[in-house]
This record gives sequence, C-alpha cells and structure tokens, in this order.
Amino acid sequence: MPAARWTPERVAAVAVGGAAGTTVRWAVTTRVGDVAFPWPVLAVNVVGSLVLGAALAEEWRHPRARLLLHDLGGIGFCGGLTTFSTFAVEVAERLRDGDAAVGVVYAAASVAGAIAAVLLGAAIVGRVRAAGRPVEAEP
Amino acid sequence: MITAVGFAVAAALGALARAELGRRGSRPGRPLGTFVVNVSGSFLLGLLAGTAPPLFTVLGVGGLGAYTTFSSFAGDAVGLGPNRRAVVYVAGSVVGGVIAAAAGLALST
Repeated sequence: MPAARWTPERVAAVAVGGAAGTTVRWAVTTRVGDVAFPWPVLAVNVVGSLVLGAALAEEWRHPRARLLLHDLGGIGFCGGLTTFSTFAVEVAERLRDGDAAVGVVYAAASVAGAIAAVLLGAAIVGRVRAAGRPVEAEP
Repeated sequence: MITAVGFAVAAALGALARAELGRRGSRPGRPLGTFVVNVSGSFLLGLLAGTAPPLFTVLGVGGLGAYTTFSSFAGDAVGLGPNRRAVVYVAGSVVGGVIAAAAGLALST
C-alpha cells in the first residue's frame, strides 16, 4: 500500500487541529497546576481517546469527511490534545523519586482508560473501525 | 504574545512531524511510526525538563506534546488486538517511553 499523499488541505487540517488540541491541553493543565497525582494529563488523554474512537469509528472515504474527521479531528485535534511524552516523563519522575506505586497506578490507569475510551467512543457511534490500519498511517 | 505564537507554531509542526512519521513508518498491522514518535518524544521531553518556563512551554508542552500522542497509541492498540501484537505494542510503547524519558531526565541534570 503506497503511503497516502499530503495535500495543502491536509497539511492545514493537521496543523490547525494540532495547534487547537494542544492549546486546550495547555489550558487544562495550566489551570489545574501542580498536583500529587497527575490526573489532568490522564483526563485529557482519556477524553482525547474517546473523541478519537468516535471520530475514527469509520474509515471515512468521502474526501471532505476524511479531511474533517480523520485529519483535522483525529490526527490533528486528538493527537494534539493527548500526549505521550508528558505521560512518560511523569511516570519516570515518580519512579525516580520513590513513588513507584503512584507511577504504576498512573500508567495502568492511562493505558486501560484510553483503550476503554476508544472502544466506548466507537460503540457510541455504533461501529468499530477496520482493524489493523494504524491511525497515523494516513495522510 | 511571542510565546503564544511560538506555542501554536511548535504545536502545528509537532503534529505535522508526527503525521509524516506515521505516514512513512506505519503499515497495516504495524504502527511503527507512532511508536518511534512516542519514544523519541519522551526522550526529548526528559532532556528539556529543567529548561526555562517559556522555552519549556513552547518546545515541551507545545512542540513535543503535539508530536507525541496518546489517542493514536490507544487507537492503534484497539486496531491491532486483542492479540499478542497489541500487548507487545502497548507494553513496548509504555516501557520504551518511560525508559527514554528517564534517560532524558538523567542527561538533563
């Protein structure tokens, strides 16, 4: 399968969606501030996974639907709203500082919560997307 | 103001870099692109820990936050499984990301 090509519309959709989702995450985490258990990032990761599960429950073939739901909403907004790097650093910091139990619970809750959220989002829409094709394999 | 513009630009570039690596690195049944993005981004964010707040906000929260993704990670896990490949992908991403972040943190101090 040849990789899908970029178009100016898709570049704009991923860029704008990514900046918007990232700004929402910044607003949430900044408003909450420092907390013992890193639930703000857990919350945005679970919510973003729920939205992604719903947005990508179907493989959108119509170009405009694909541009809006897959590129702008899924890869852009949900990808920007959620983050793996802050999650990994938060777990590593807790392991380093002797809070291994908190780190393990946080990691397990993030993984289980996000996967359950994807399934729930897909179930709400009533479909489960075609198995096996990675979310970011396109555009 | 400059920080806000830099933040939005870094976030947009991070999302585009992630999509391009996913496009090049991921194939049906093998979400390698997103794995590479998440592990490399975790290492770089660990390295950035301790930098000045405006720089960390722009490059760390904005750029690397948008570059890495938890939603596509979870979506790929669902798309793969439930099977052994999905377990390997999930465990490999989490363990690899945390080790990479710890390495970055160790090098930053």
